[in-house]
Amino acid sequence: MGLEMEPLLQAWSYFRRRKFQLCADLCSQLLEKCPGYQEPDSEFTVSQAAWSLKTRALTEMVYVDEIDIDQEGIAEMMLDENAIAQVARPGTSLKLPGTSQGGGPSPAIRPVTQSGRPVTGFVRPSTQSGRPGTMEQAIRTPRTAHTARPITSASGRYIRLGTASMLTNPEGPFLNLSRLNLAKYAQKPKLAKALFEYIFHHENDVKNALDLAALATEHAQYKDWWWKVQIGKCYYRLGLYREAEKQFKSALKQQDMVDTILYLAKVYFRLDQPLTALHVFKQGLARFPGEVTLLCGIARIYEEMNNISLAAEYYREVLKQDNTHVEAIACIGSNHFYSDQPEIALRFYRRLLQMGVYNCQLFNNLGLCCFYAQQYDMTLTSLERALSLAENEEEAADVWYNLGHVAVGIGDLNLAYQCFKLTLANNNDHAEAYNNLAVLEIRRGHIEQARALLQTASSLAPHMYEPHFNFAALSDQVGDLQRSFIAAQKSKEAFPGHVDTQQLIKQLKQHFAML
Amino acid sequence: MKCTYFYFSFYTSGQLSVEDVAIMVLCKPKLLPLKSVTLEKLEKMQRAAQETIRQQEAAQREQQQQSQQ
Repeated sequence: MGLEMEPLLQAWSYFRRRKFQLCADLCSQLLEKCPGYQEPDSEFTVSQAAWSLKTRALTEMVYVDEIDIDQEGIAEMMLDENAIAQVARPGTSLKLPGTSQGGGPSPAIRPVTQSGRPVTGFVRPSTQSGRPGTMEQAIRTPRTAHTARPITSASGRYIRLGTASMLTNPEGPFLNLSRLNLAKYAQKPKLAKALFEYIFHHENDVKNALDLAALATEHAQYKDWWWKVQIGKCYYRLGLYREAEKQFKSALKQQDMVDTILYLAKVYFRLDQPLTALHVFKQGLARFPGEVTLLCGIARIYEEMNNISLAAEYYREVLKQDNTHVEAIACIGSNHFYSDQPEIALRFYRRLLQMGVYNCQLFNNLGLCCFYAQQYDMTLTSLERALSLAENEEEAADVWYNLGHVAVGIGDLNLAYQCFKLTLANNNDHAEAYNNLAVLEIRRGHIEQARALLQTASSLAPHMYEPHFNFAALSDQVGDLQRSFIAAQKSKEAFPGHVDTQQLIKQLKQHFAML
Repeated sequence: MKCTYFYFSFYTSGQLSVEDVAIMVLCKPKLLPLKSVTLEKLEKMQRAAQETIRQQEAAQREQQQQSQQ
């Protein structure tokens, strides 16, 4: 054997190089030997250091940014006790996206999500689908991250990931939390911080984490802002938003930190007070001018409130500070695409490609932009590459759906028909594909098939106006005026400004008046 | 958007009849939203977790079958 590194140093080096599994394994070996050997000039033993390093490595393996993660469960959404007003005033709530008309695009051009917001150019764990209006919708929400919405956020990903990480370890969990003497650890601030993060992120045991944080902050005589932020995070996870707010505010008084501002705004966001959240962000910007995360937070809120033009303005501001910000580039790109400027959108998406983003979504968007910017040579190759990069059937379904549009655009209706069929083969719940297939069936004269497809589409996605309108028009043509009227009403509800629907309803009313 | 068809019936009396047919609406092309790093990491972890669970279940099933034999 040649020269070998000192094992603890090597473990530390693994940690720094983000080889967490190797680091944890090496630490386990060290802990098994457990010499209890103490460095003469240190208050910690080697085994303590290894223990601390292992907790940190295990935490890093499953660490996700707490600011970003926020998944509302069905229970939180439907049984929301924090709502101040049942019917909020226009422009003050995230629940009524249609109320603020800040230059939002019409659904005739830009597809909308179930909650009536235009689709965004970027998904985060929190923006997956907005708030559905009814329980039934909540359960059936189509999602980008194809897992069912959890019943409550407490039973959501946190827990699932927590149990999964334990399964991977054959000897059971690294620490047995019920046997830990939290008071003892709270006395040692350096160990306690690593331990807290381990309990919070790896074990997902918020209650124990809160106990530890409470003891530690007491030991620090309430002078350590870090512990206050952690207590706030625990309260937030437990659903005690007002208590969390107090902790974050108190932490901010001691130490002005961008992170704390973001957490505070997140609390207001959850309490459905977007204006207060905006205020917090703007105050933060006064103290940290040009801070990208704050600017981005403002843009997200405007986007959620359906104020697309202001959102775009702030995303531009983000790009001025950080011109490699993927979220800002993607959002501005999709805005340009849906405001009929595919050439400019193409430049933004190309920029993302240059930056090294290489996935199915990006190539799909590039393909679409190329097609609508009349650069036909790149269209099919991009979409083909998107198909080959699709990670699951839902993604492939979306690419086939867009290929169907390209086929419609070049007039090859047989290809379009096959593309939409393939979409449905990949994802049986693709409402848009059902609708488009129905339109093609009508052109072929298959009225009954079209009717069935439209009914499927409108039950899958009641928020879209297209299937309702098509069903109304079809029923009108075959003389089924009653059904036509009902469907037209639904179409009007989904998209009040649609002229054809208004005309159809007017026509039907005249018919009924004549009877 | 309306498509208007003109039918000229010259042979009868030079009347012009106009039929207004509503065109069916296609759903719009969908740009796919890019995923945030956090979301990608979450999905990756979830996939890995599901994979380990599946492997463990398969191993258990095999053990049960062996013990039954």
